[in-house]
Amino acid sequence: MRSGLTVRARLLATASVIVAVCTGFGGSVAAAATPVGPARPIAVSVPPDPTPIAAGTSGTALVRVVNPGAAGVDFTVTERRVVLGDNGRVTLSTQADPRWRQLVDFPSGVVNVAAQNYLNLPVTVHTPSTLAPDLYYIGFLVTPINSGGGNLQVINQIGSFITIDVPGPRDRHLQADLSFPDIVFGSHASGTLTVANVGKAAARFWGETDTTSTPGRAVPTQDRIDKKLSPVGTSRSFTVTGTPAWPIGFVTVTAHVIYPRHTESSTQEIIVKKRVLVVSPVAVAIAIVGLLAVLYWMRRRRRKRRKGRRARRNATGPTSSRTRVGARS
Amino acid sequence: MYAGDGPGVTGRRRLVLFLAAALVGGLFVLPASPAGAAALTNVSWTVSNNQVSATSVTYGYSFKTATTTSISSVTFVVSGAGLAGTPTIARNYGIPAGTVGITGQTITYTVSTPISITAGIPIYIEFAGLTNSSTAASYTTVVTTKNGASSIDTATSPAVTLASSNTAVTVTVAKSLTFTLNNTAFELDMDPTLSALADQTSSIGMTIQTNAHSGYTLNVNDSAAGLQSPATGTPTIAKVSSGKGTSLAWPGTPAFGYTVTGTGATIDGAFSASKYAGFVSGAGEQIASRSGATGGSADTITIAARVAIDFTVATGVYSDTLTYTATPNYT
Repeated sequence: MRSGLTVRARLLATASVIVAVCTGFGGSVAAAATPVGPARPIAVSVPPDPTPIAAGTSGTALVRVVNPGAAGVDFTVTERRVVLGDNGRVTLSTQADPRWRQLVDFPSGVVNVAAQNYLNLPVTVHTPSTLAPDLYYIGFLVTPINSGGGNLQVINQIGSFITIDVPGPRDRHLQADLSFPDIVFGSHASGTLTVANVGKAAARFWGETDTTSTPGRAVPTQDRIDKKLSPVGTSRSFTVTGTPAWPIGFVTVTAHVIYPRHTESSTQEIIVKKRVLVVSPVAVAIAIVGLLAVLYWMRRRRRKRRKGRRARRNATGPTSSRTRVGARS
Repeated sequence: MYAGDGPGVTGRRRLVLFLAAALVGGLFVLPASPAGAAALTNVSWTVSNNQVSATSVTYGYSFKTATTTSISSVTFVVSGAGLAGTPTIARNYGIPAGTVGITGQTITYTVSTPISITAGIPIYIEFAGLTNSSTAASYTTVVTTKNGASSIDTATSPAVTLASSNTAVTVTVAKSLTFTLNNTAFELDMDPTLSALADQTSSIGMTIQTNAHSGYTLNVNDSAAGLQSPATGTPTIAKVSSGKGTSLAWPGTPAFGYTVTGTGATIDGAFSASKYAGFVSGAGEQIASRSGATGGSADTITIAARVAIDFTVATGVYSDTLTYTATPNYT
């Protein structure tokens, strides 16, 4: 079976050589290698919200592995330390998280998911009794196992993580900053709202940006920020825009960032405000055209006056020349 | 002299009389304002579960203010009896941060630092952790904005029916990522005699689809040994570069490297202008990413893994394992 594949591969390789020679690209274009492995789709799903597990107890989160392909897939699930970065970035380490060693039960060994099928894999987490209330992240890799031949093996693995919530009051602390230029030459002002978690616990925040324009729009335009997770030491950035009601105007952007501080029954709010002068190029163009028009009108008027004066002078020419002559003499 | 003063005095008297009348009128008008509270508009009430006695239910209220004034609290008086639970604030838009409390059928949202809110502002407040009444019936909520003890605007929400005979539908969409590979293995039969057989490319097609709001990252790594032969001396075919940081145009033989193209995803700039990089073992390197969900159309990413040999490369079977890791970002 395997040698058959190799023979076919050689035939295909020869065919590609013929094509290459015929098209005259023999030396410069790389020939194509022969695929000998099947296509393999795989999907991994995790719960969208944290799974609440009290400290000192156990709980289970379900990880779903889906095989939409036409052949069964063997895979393994291995624990990995997860590092959450700015703006939702997730990085998985090459090692398991020592903090969760022997506290998380992942499915062991090789698991098979049949074609066009799925498996709900329970991941049991045992939380230490000393664990402080917070959100915790447990990373893992779902790695398909290659079974066929071929000297260049390719593996498509999926990394993901589950979030557990150890309930209880916690100390969340966020900071927000609104960065805008003072003056913008354009149709709108665009800036960045950055929310940083400077506290000791993860926070899920939401908020809005309200934009008003002077002159022209006193009632704010509300843009809502949906709930976002902000792990400790990370930040989130949002692009905020504001358009003046007139070609020239002050745009005031007020950002509200809201999050539960200690418990979920009371929220804390951060308000940051920025005022930007927005000057539309159209307004500048109109002003320049207007200025040129005024200058042209003034010049024309001056010319007209000169012309009129000259005409008047010519009309009363002899008298004036005589006067001048007289004056000179 | 006095005649001249006459009209001025009359004018002042008129002014004083007018101000007094306005003051007296105001005194009558002011206490009447709560009774004349304006109506909130666009009031809606949604519940996450309409089964009687259901716990951990989320109530969401949205409305628009009718009066420009300072709002210090909002009360939500649910009709009937049996409302319970410990509400928490799940979201609030259009109104400053605050605290929530429940007394009987009244949920009170108290603003921590009241500010003036313009008329027509859309407000949305969502409470989690509530327990529905055990009585199957149709319920409404009277929503009232307040400044201290005085009511500002009020309105009654459309009815919500709590029942035991209906079917509560709760849809939870998991955070999911699908990763498809078009081929899991390649055979490269190479021969240095003929240039076309001495330079071959394995084209690896991948598709990634995710509903993660912040998108995903795609990393690649290979085995620590690289493209290696088990023959005596375990010879290897050299990597084209030490990683994507030193990517370059294909330098010729002998070399092993890859380049990336794709649609939908943001391909790392190291691979622009068909530049090639060597695979990195261990943690590998990020080659593509996306900052938002893919939606209905999957991203397609193609890796061209290229091997070129000459007569300096020892004969034998060389093999390597390329591992691609797709990881959805968090929301």
